[in-house]
Amino acid sequence: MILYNRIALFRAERGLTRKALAEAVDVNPQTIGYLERGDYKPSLELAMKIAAIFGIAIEHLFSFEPFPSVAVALRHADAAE
Amino acid sequence: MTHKSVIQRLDDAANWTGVPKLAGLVEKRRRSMRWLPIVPLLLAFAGVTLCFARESGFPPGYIAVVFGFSLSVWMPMFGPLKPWGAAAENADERERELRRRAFLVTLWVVAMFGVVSLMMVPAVAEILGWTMDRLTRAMMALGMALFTVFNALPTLYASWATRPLPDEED
Repeated sequence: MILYNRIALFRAERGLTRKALAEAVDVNPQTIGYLERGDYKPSLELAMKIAAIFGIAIEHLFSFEPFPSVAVALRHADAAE
Repeated sequence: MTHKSVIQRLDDAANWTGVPKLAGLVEKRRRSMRWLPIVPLLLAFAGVTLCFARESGFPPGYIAVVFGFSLSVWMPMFGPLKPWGAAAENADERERELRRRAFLVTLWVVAMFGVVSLMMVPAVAEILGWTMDRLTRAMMALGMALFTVFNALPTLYASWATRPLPDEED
């Protein structure tokens, strides 16, 4: 089963480098790269650590369903207002 | 000209030898090796085949096996898998998982290869009437080929199990 994630999006939003995020969660920077590309499924511990760094709930970062693109999310937000 | 203390010069000299890097005291850049581990594996298997086929004389098969083994020794040092217990190379959960899978596959291959060889070689020796000398040489070549598999296969597996990442963009 594919585990989708939005690590790259949140990392870019917070202006964090891969190296900085990797150091914060105690893994190697390459592991962040593999996570972002979806080549590696993290342990629950690592997933929770990353979510804690971004200050969000884990389900906002990882999902079994593809996340909507930023454009779609903005359109929905505009429609809701 | 920079002025260095005696201690710094001694450190530079020690680093120049490359020994600290080999001992895992300095973090080194590990690379995916998708093709290189195939060379020692091919040499080992070709060598074993030659050892089995040639009756006597100068053993080119044995030389191929030894050469393949010598090459395979370098694979764990520069391949993508970090060794157990290296002070400067702390493997994280992804690397530990990859290493676990790579060695599981390797040990399975080595075990199967070893068991089949243990059954086949004495049978072949009995049927073809090999001398003890020839049987000993064949078994030694086989042992070294197994070591080559043990050295090179984890690197080969790990290199193909992950697609290399582009260089760090940030």
